[in-house]
Amino acid sequence: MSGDLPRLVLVHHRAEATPETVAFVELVRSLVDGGRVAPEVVLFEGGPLAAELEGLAPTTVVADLDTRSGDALVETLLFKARLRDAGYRRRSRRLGLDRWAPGDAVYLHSVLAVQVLRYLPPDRPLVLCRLAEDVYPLRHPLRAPDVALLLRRVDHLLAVTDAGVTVLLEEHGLASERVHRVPEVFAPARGRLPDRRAEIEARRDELGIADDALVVGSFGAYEADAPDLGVLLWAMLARRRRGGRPVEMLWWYQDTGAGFWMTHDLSATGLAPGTHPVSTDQDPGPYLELCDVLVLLTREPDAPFAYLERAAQGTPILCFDINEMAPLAAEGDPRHVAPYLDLAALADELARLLDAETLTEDRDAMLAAVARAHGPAAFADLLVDLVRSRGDG
Amino acid sequence: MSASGRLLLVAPDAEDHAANRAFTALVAALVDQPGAPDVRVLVLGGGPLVAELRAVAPTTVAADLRSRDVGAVVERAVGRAGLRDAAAKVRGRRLGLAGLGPGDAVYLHDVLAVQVLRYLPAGVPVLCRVAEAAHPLHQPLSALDLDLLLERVNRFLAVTDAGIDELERTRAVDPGRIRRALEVVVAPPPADPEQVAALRSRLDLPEQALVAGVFGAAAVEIHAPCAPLAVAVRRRPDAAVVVLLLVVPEHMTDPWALHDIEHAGLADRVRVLALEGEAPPYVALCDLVVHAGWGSDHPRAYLEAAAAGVPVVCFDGHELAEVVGADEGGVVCPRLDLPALAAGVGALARSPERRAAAGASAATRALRLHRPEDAAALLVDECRAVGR
Repeated sequence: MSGDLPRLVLVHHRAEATPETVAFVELVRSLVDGGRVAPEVVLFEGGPLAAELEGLAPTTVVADLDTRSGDALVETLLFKARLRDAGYRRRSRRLGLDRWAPGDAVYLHSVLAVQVLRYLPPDRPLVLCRLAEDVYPLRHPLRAPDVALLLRRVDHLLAVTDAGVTVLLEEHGLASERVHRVPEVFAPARGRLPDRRAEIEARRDELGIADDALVVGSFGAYEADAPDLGVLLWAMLARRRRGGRPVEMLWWYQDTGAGFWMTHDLSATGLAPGTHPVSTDQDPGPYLELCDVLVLLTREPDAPFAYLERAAQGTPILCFDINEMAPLAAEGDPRHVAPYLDLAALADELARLLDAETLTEDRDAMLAAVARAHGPAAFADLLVDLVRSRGDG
Repeated sequence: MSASGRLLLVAPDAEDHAANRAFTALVAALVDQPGAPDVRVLVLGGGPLVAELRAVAPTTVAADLRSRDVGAVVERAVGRAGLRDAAAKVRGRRLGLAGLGPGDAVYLHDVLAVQVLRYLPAGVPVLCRVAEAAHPLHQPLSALDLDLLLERVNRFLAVTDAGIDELERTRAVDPGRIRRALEVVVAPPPADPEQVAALRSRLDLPEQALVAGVFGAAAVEIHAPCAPLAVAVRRRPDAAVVVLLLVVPEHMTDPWALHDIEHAGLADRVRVLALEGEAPPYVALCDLVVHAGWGSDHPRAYLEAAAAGVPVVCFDGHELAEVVGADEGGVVCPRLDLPALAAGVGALARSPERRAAAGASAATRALRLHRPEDAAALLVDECRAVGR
């Protein structure tokens, strides 16, 4: 502990300029400002936002460790001799992760930081880990030993979606007291992200979207997502609009069965012209930025991070009432939320929106709404409460 | 098949269900054709329809072969010695297949009759009907059976575009070996009122409820939008008494159907029934049937419903629209217009007279468009084409 404050080491895999890392930076800032813990940061790699983190709290970048010091050489020799545990202990010492006082804790902002668990003693400190949104949040690029380590060593998993909770409780059989459903943490970028205008225009050209077309986007066609609903909604929308600016649909999906059916159905029903199924495992960011309206048709409660970003920028979000985005969508306009499966209501609202003079919500109001529901301060309080409730101090 | 050739039709069994009643009608139509080939029937398992088949054509039931005659003993001995090909030849002789040659033809009425291909002499042309299903060739076929089918059948007769699609794209069958076939539909026997009443009670259907049957997952579409349809129907005052009956074949699962029903608050408006056996008596429960999908299939359950005098609501561009005609046998709605589909349901729900007239027309049209005589003529043409 630093003085009387518990030490909280926050770990992130890299300080790249992404919305997730921006949220991490603001989380650290909130913890510093809160004054209830002594934050430190460990990054596996640096990046554009590393300097800002260094200005907030003591920060170590693993990739920047001296590789020629005596300690580094000993560590290398230990790994080469396959004495991995000894190597991890040496690395732990170099990173200052070998000494813990009662009440200290480690927080992983992403499962991709799992490697740090190998540098920790087996029985302390307390470990918390955020489980970001995804249909299979633990799958990522994690290997089986990493998943096993995560599930064994993390004391509290903080899932930002119901899907994450379900995966932990039902697929992995974790005790419910180790699993917490928490709101995703989000913070506005405020100029920290690269200017992607050229990239966005390039994507628009690549897809052949007409210059004057409004773009309706739907993202994340995992198994829960509903290509059948998308096709029906699109057909209903076409019937409701007579004239006005052309509208095109962008359906971003991963390579799953749902994605296959989407492209099949669009083609089989003659709706393909003016629609753009985009299958990619890359960053959906530029495609999201293309969209004037976002529709979330998933059958499961979901609150994709990307939708929070866009909501904060005033992009209207339409969804069903079962969806976790519904309260935020309704902040823009209560009509944006339709009863589950009432496609006619959704199509009516989408048509109204697309024919309206302005398509953008009150940006300040939406930003405030996103901040209320997903601000870093609330997440910071949650972390601190979990750390201090351990009661070892 | 030559002009004097024999045509052997093979079915997996003779159980009394709609597909087999259609098969029996097909056999009878073949026999009655002018210039008919010499028609014989082989059913692998027995069943109540054997007598009807025997009344129209010589029929062998493989399951009735004696197990203790000389042929059976030889077959077992040869099989136990590991001489499978020889055992198959013995079995073929016992089934009367040994005399078949290139001038004859064998027609499998179902892929489940694939076993008989092991007993056929080489060089006998084989045609095989591929019935409607999401994946028509999947069925309970083993990989070996599937390979045998794909290798040995000269012409596949698919009753749906989905079947053609699976054969061409998934199984890489040469399009020259595939034809679109006509499904045979016959009028079903009258429903047992007591059975219908018992089913209605079991489903807890209110007395005044009108039942709209949706045979969703029998069709090609994985995501037949039954729950969105139910929501659209619920919005309509003229459909207030309509309950959707979603009948799901047991080999297909639609994990989202139950989820949707629960989360959209549809428990009072939708009943989900696992299909055990054939569509009736579920069809007998229905005041109308609704096909909410947009695939290119021709679901048998809907054809049977139409043949039984139940009006049909569907999208235009779907093959069922032929049965409905210009709104004679039900209602044809603009493609993918779900509110229009719900309005079609409402229109039939509020008028018993319209339902009765549409049902009668649906029956006439379904039986006329799917006559066994027409299917028989097509089959003979195909047999002769394959034999050339």
